[in-house]
Amino acid sequence: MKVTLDEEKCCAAGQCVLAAPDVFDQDDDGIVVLLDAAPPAEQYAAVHEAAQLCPAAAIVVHAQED
Amino acid sequence: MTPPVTTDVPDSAAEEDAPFFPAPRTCPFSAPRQYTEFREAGGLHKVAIWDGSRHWLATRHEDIRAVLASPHFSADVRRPEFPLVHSNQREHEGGLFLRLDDPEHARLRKMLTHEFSVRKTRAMSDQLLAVTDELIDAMLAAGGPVDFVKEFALPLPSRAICVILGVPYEDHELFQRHADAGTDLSIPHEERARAHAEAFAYYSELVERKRREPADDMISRLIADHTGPDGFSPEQLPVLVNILVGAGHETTANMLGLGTTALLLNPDQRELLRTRPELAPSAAEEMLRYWGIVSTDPRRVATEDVEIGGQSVRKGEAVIVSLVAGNRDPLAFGPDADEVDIARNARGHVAFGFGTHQCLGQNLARVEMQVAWPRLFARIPDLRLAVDVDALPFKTNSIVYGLESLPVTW
Ligand code: HEM
Ligand code: SF4
Repeated sequence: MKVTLDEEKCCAAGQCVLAAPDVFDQDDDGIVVLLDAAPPAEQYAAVHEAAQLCPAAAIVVHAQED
Repeated sequence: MTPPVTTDVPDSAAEEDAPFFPAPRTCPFSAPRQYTEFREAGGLHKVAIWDGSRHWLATRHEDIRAVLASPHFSADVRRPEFPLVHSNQREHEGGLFLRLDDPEHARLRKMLTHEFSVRKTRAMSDQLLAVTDELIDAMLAAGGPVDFVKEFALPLPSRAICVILGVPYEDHELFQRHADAGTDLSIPHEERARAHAEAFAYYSELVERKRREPADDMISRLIADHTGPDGFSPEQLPVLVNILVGAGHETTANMLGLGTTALLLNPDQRELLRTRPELAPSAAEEMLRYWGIVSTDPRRVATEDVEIGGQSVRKGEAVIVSLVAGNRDPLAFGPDADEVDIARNARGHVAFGFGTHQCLGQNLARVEMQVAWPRLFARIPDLRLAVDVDALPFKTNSIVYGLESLPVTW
């Protein structure tokens, strides 16, 4: 799995940090920061949930061959 | 001519094919029955509002998210087609950041997000816990029965937002009155205008004071960093602060009252939270979902022809969404969506809206509930209602659902 962000879209709601705190954080202005662009398998569910919950569609999850 | 009271059901407005919106919650613990039926039928349905105009209503979780995430809908109350929530809305809120569209809305919102990130709001936990303890101490010292709304649910979020913004808490009766006038739909136009003018005067003076004597608070930081041509205009700052104070305390206060009620009426859930306080975050999400307290909003106007839930919405038509109907959608939350289950994953609820206008203060509201409930039930394990459920005074005609008072004892 590979994760990319569109920071321009982020509205700083923080849903991603609540859903997947090991993968996402917020900077001082509340804008999303990627902690792990290639998270391990045990994070997949949380990352998908974060992408689904993000109100601004700022998180893109790419499937990737291992 | 006296402008209409926004909630009187006008004889002419509502007809068979377009029932009056907002419908009352048939039972205090459910979504309005009509909206449940709309949701089961699927698609969008026409409703009529206080001024006689007709709009689409979305009730499915999926349709609500689609409307609120779409770039083809506008939140700008200055548009002539916008379905105003009451007769003062355009005048009171027109041009405010939350009633603008991106990119202007996003640009201004980013000047406020700093204060409400997950980390910033979590850092307030200890402070909130201290206030929680103080309020519980006072309740215990007074002895039951007490009004939980007045003694706990209102002061906790009021004190929190006062600390963040730098508003003196001593003035809480004043700003609580302003907030009530902004959300209570049964008051006449002039009365709401008077309250708004009074609030504007109060916050103008406060902003002036902060300009002279800056402190370590959000108002002072906004003045220093975000006023002027690229930020908030001097006339807008007092209105913005008023909105933040109102949204910052009243919504969470209603959630604390309603959520406590739901926990008192579901002893197994309250026992679960008491024995497993680590469920507090999940319990807060479930309460947000279950109550879906914002009853009349969000509202949007289509800026293009779009299709939502199989219904074509023409450019210039408006869609209102029923958050509580969406939060009880079995397609999103399962067949037991009408039950309270603090252990379920309720994070997908739309109680804070969706899209780029999703609640700015959501993480503050979360922390307040997460701190309050475990402590409350740990310290007063035999807390109970002091009146019959049937006697609880639910707000029946307000933008935000809640309880006028909540008599409890122990
Ligand atoms: C449980 C408590 C709360 C609930 C249920 C709630 C609900 C909502 C909802 C549904 C919206 C979306 C409105 C729309 O899309 O038109 C919203 C927006 C907003 N809320 Fe909250 N809210 C809560 C607490 C707070 C707090 C504590 C603040 C403190 C500052 C706050 C400030 C705001 C602001 C400023 C907006 C507008 C955001 C924008 O348009 O970008 N809310 N809230
Ligand atoms: S959930 Fe989306 S909008 Fe919210 S902080 Fe994360 S990326 Fe930004």
